[in-house]
Amino acid sequence: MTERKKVSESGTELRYRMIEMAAGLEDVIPLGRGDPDLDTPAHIVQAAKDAIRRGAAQQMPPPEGLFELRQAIAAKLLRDNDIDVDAHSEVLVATGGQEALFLIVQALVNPGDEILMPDPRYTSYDGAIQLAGGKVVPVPTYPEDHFDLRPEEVEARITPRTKMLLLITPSNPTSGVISPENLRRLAEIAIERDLIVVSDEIYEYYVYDDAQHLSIASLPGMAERTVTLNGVSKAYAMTGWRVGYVAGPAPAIAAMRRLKIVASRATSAVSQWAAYAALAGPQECIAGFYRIYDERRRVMMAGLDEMGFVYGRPRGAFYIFPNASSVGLPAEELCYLLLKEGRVLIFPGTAFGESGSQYLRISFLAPKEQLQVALERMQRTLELHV
Amino acid sequence: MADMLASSPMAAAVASRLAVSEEELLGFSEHGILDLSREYAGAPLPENIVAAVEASLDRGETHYTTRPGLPALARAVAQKLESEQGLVLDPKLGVIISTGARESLFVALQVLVQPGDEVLVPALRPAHIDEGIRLAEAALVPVSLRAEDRFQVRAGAIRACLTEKTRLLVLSNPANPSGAVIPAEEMAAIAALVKEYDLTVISDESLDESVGGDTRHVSIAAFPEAAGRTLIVGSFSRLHDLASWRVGYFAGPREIAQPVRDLKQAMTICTSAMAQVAALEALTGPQDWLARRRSEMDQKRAFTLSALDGMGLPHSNPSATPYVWVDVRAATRGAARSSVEFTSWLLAEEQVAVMPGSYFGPQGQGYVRLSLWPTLTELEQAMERISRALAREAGGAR
Repeated sequence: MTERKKVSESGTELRYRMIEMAAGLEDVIPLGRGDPDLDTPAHIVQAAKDAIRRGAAQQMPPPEGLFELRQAIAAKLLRDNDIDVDAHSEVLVATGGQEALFLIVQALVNPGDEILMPDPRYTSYDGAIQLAGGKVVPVPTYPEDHFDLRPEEVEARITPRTKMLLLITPSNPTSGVISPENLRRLAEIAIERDLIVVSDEIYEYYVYDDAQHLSIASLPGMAERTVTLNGVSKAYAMTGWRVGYVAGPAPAIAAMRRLKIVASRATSAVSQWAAYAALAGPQECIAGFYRIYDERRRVMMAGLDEMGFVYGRPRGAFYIFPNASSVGLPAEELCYLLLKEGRVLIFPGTAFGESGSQYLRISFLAPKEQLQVALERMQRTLELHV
Repeated sequence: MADMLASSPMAAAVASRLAVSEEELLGFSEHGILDLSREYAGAPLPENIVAAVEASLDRGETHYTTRPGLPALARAVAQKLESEQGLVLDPKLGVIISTGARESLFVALQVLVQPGDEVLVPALRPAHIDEGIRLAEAALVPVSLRAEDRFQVRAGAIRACLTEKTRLLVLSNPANPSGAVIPAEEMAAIAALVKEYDLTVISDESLDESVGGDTRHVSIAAFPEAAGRTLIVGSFSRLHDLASWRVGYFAGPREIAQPVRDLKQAMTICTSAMAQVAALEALTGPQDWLARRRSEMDQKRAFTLSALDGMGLPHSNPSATPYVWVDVRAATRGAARSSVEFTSWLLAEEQVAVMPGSYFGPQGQGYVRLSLWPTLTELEQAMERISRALAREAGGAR
């Protein structure tokens, strides 16, 4: 019988193993998965219901996505990101940011190509890169920089085989945000060394303190070599709808579109109408989500300070990435202990690449009161065992 | 402008691995023409499905589902396969809900073959199969089909294609585009063959609900020789009419389903929660509408086949599927007109769009595929127009 290709990688496996273990336990506070606990705003849900009632959800959208949605995406990119794209030829709707990244990699990466990626990293992207025969080259980021990306660390790893620089800012899992100054330098490097840049900006609205989100595609000379990836999952609490998108030069979009026809044909119509309502409708919900996440972030930082954890200050997304080495247990062991005894689900940093063994990724996607309880449980478990 | 694009870094970076044309992959309906090439009905949903989705949204089910999909849906699929095919699968590890049959086929082809492997595929097959095999860097070997077998795949034809490099057999049963249903006795022979040659099987059964009349759909996985080596691909896009929701499944022994699931996860994490809710209600809710659609389909098929007989056009005489495979060689002035040319001619003459047979592989030259998704009234009009065009042509030729 045929040998099977392996696209799984240990990080993803570890995360799912923990999610599945948590599902078998009672009263677990889930601070694992990056799935906002807040529900999709009512006006978006209503738009989906309307699309079903009027029959629009029954019509197969074109592979590149509903034109109405692509127009809304182009308008949003111009409004928020200073990125000017043609809705006809430079935007593609995908089944979540994950499919967007998958299509980007399959369309642009050839076997042997190297892809530079800040590390610790969202390892689910490794699977897509493996399938294309590409090689992930991790670029370390440091808690003392709040996990910003040092341009010199990127530059030091460029080889003749380097094809692509994959940026995720704000970052999952570190919550680091690449500063405008570093992004400008990275743009210069990309131009000098002729690299394609993929900019995953799915957490863009959630940037805290004095951090600033800048889209690298808006910098001079970058539009022609940058593919921007975004989606509605994290911004509007819409993970279950599975809608993401890609914007970039027409040849790249055309190649991804053809792959999409083969890989999934189209993205669900009802989900696209919901995404359209999210992007084209009122945006106040974002400010509401922002206040909630920022407040939770402060609660988590205060609690972790009290326990003596060291961490890079989370400047974006909804994660905190503390160093757990002071506890004296490997992160993975500590997370199993916190789950089984403390009933708090947290992912070990090893789920986000080899360099994460000292770290924990805590998502603050639970109400403040639950976060307080989770912190108390963590403290109690640590006192008993460490 | 084109020069600028061609010399841009992005154009240079595009991995040029796709070869077939867009129309082969999409069909005419994507170009704005409502026609007999379409692949789904798009009718209003039954009220119980609408209500189930609305209730789910009201409960706030707008989040990721678990990785294999909604447990209740995976269980319902496992139950369906057990009751219809006697197949016992682990609903947790052997049944995965996907973003439609196309995603299932794509991920299965990428994972289950290695570069250089030979993949046996019925000579008539949709173009996205070719593309999936090409992307996996494997070689497609067409299994020839004969009109006198009503285009059913025969074990002997498979045997004739086997080499040392053969690793995988792809079946489409009931078949797109011919509507052929492989009879149980033939399927037993195919199952014995795949065991003898240690092949893995991807069995696309996304048209299984459309089997009408006295015909029975028997999966290759119903035979013990093949059950442990077969991944079934299923869909809710056809009679269940959830094509635009993008939901289907793949199911098989865990050793095959799990690595395929890993790629599905890497590609789309999970399938849209609301699409899964719709599929669950379609599968476990009242089934009377499905029976009604099936009998409507039977009626439309019977009408269309008899209209084709009346015009003297040979066809695949399908007992299942929303497709009829029609031999138009007599109507194409011999070899002078390809099936694409015939299709364009029919479109121009009478504004009836059908799928050229050559979009389903070289053996499809001289044929067209008619879809039975339009209403009976539309089909009546279409048959009248085709008949008129052919009569005019015959008159002109004289």
